[in-house]
Amino acid sequence: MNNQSKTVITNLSISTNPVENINRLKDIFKQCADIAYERIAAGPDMSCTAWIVYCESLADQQSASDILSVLQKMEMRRRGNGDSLTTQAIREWFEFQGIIDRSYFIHDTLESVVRMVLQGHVVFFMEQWDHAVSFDGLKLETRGVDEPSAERAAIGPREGTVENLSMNIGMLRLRLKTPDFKIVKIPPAGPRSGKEIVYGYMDGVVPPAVLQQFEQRIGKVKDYEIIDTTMVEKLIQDSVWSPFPQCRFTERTDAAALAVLEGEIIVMSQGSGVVLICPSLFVEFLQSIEDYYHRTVFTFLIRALRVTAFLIALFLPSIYVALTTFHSELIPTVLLLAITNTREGIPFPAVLEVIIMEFFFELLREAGIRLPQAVGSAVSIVGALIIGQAAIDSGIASPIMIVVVALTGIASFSIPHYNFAIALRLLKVPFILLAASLGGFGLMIGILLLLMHLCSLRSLGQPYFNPVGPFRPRRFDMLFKVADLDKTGQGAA
Amino acid sequence: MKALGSLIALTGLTLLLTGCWSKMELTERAFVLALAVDKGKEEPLEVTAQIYRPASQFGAPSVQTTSTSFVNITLDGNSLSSIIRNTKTVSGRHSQFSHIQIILISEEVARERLSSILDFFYRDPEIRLGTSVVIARGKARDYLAGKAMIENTLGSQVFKQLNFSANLAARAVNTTILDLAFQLKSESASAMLPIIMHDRQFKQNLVQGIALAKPDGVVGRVAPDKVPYLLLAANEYNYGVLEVPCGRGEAAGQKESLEVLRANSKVTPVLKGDSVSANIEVKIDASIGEMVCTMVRDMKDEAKYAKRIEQHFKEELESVLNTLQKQQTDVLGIGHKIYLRHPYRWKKMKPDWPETYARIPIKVNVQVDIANSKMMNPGPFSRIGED
Repeated sequence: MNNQSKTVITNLSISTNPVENINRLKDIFKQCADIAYERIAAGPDMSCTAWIVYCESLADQQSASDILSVLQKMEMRRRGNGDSLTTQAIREWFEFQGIIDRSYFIHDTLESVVRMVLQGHVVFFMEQWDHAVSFDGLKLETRGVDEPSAERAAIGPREGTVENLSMNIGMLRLRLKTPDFKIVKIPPAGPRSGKEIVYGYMDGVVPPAVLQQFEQRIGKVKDYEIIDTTMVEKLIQDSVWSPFPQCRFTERTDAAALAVLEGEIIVMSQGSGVVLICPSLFVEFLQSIEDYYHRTVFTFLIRALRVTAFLIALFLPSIYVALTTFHSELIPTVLLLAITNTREGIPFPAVLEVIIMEFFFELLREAGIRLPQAVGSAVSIVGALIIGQAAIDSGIASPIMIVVVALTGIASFSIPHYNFAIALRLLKVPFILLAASLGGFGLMIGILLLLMHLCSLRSLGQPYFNPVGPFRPRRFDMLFKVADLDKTGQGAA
Repeated sequence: MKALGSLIALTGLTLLLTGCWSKMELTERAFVLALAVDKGKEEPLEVTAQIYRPASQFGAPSVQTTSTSFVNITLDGNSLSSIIRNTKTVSGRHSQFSHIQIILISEEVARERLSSILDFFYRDPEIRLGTSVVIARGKARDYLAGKAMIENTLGSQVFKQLNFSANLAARAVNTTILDLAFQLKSESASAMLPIIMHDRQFKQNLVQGIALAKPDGVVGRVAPDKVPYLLLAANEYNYGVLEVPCGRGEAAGQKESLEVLRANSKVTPVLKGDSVSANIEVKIDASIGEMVCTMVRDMKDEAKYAKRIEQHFKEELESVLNTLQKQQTDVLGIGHKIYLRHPYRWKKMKPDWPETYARIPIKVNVQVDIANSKMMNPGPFSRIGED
C-alpha cells in the first residue's frame, strides 16, 4: 500500500516561460492520451501567448473555452480594448481578485497543477508569470436520484445517494439545515487513487472523545489507496479479526441524516454512493430506518422479530444437531417421532447432513449474486429443485433438515444490514461443529465465548454490546423501541 | 498472547468437566413408548417394550400403509434392568426410554410387589419421573398388542385415554412414578393407581377404576362408578358428571346428572386426647346436566334440590371411605397430616396406624352450589319454571 508514485514531481516551481511548463507537463503526462494542451494568443500583435491544459476525459470542453470568455469579459469591464491588454494586467486581475463568474485557484507549483488537472480542472499558464490559474471544469455522468435497490422501504422517502459527492452532500444538507452539521474535507487518500473523502457530523451531539478518535484514524487515509468508501471501514474499525462489523453502510440519505442527528459520524467519497456510518453498535444492526416511520407498537414487534431472526440465523442448525444427536429427550414425543420418520434411511449423521445442506445453500447464494439477472433466476429454479425435492428423494437430506436450513437462510435475509448477516453466516459453522462434538454443552461454551467477545468489543471506543454488556437494563428499550420524537434538538441518543 | 493462552487453557479445561451425554444419531436409537410388566411363565418377570418403528420414506408407499408403526419386544428375566438391557439384542438399536409415555403393570405382579419393580425407574436417568403408571387387569402386554384406534401407537393411545379419563371424566387418576413415590413414601404409605381393563362386551379397552396400593403391592380396588367420590374426597376431582338417583315415584330407577364445574375438599384430622377422628369438607360448584324427575321453580326449590344431592353424595362418599378403611389404605393422607402437625405424637401412633385408621370415625360434610341451569332460555324440555 505504501509504494511511492513513480513520477516524481515534488517542488517543481512554475516557470515564467509557458512553453517550458508545457514541456515539463508533457514529460510528466507521457503517454497519457487524454491530456489536452491548447495554445492561445492575445494582446497586441498576438504577442502575448498562453496555454490551457486539461484532462479531456474529465473536464468539459465548454469549460476550456470558458477561460477565453473570462478574459474577454475582463477586457470589457476593466482593461480597455484588447490591444492594450498586457500580461501584467491579467496577472493583477487574478491576483487582486477581480470579478469573475467562476471560482478559480492560483497555483505556484507544478505538483499542484498536475493534481488539479487530474481532478478535472482546466489550468491556464501565461507568459511572464510564475503562477497558474485553474477552474473547476469537472463534468461527471451522474445517474438520477433513485431508490437504493439494497435498502427498499415500504414507506418513507425514495431518495438514495448517487455517485456524485457534491450532490450527496447537497441532499444531506437539505435534511440538516444547520451550521452545526459539519462537512470536513480531508487530504485525498493515497498517492495514486487520490480519492476525495469527506466526513460529516453534528457538532455538539457527537461525543468529543469519539470524534477525536475518529479524526486520528481517518488521518491515516492519505497513506492508503482507497477505491470505495467501504474500504475506509478498515481504517476506522477497532477489531480486524472480529466477525462483527463495527461500521454500517447506507445508500439512503434519510438514514444518513438520522445517524448524524443521533451523534454518529458519516464518511462519504467521490464516485461512490455508499455512506459509512460509525461508530455502529450491535443493536443498530438490527434496526432499519423504516422503524422510525412505523407506529410504535409495530416497530416493537418487528424489532422483536429481528432479534428472533438473529438467534435463528445463528443457532438453529446447531441447536438441531445438538438436540437430535445428544438430547433427543428434549424433543416433544410427537415431534420426535415425526423427525425420526424423516431421518430414517438417511445415510449421513445429522451434522454432516447440516453441513452438506448449508454448503449447498451458500453455494447457491453465491451463484445467484454473481450471475447476470437473466441467468440468476435459472439458478434459483435449479437450486430450489436440487435443495428441495431432489435432495430429499435421493436420501441425502431429510425434509426437516430442509426446513432448518431454509429457515436459517430466511432469518439471515431478514437482518437489515447485509454485512451483519454475513457475520452470522460465518459464525453458524463453528457453532454447528461445537454442537456436533459436545452437544448442548459445546453450544454453551460457544455462546460464552461469543458473549465474551461481544462484551469486550469496542466501536470507536464505545462498548459494542451496549446495553447488554455493559449491563444497563434501563436501556433495553434500545433493542425494541424507537426513541421518541426529538424535541430539544439535543440528539435522540 | 497471554489472553489467547488463557483462553485456550480454559477451553481445554472445560472439556474435562463432567457431563452426562451420549452421542448417538436418531437412526441408532429405538424409542420405547410403553412398557408392560407381566409375570413370566418360568421367570418372575416378563417385560414387553413397545418400540416406535419409523416409517422410512424411501420405501414403496404400499409397504408403509400395511405395517403398524410400532413393534413389541417381549423378554423375560429376573430383574427389570437386565431385561431392558437385553432388548437391544432383539431390536439392534439402543433403547431410549426418555419418551416412554406409560408403564403398564399387570395386577398379578402388582399384587405381589410394587416398589421393588419400580426401583429401576427411579435410578435410571433416562426415564422421566412424569411417566404415568397404570395397573392392567389381566395380561399387561395384551393392551399393547393389536392396532391403535387413532394414535400412532397403543402406548400413546393408553396415555391419552388415561389423561381424558382422569381430567375430564373423573373415572381414574393420573399417577406418575414421581407421585407414586411421594404417596408410598409419605407417612400414610398408600397410593392410588389407575386401572385399565378390557370390556368383553364391546371389545375395547377402558381406563376406569382405581387400584389401592401399599408399598408392598396393590391391595384392592375401587369400582369405576365409585371413583368420582374417591376423587372428590381426595381433592383430585377436576371435571366430570355426577349422577343423582330419582328416588321413589314415577321416575324410580332413573337418574339425573350434574356437571361439576369446580370441586374442592379438605381433610382435617382431629386429635382429642387419645381418640382420633377426621372431618372431610367437600364443596362442589355444579350446573344441572339432565333433569328427569325434579322440578325447580324458585330459589327454595333449588335449595331443596341441592340438599337432596348433598345427602346422596354424602352417602356415596361414606361408602367409599368405608372401603378405604377396610383396606387400611390411607390414600387421603390423614396419617401424613397428623404427622405434619403433631410429629411427636405421630411417632407413637405410627406403628398401629393402619389398624387405628380402619376404626376412626370420619365425618363427611358436602356442600353443593348449583351455579347455573345451563338454560339460555326456558325451553320445551325444561322442568324449570313449569307449573
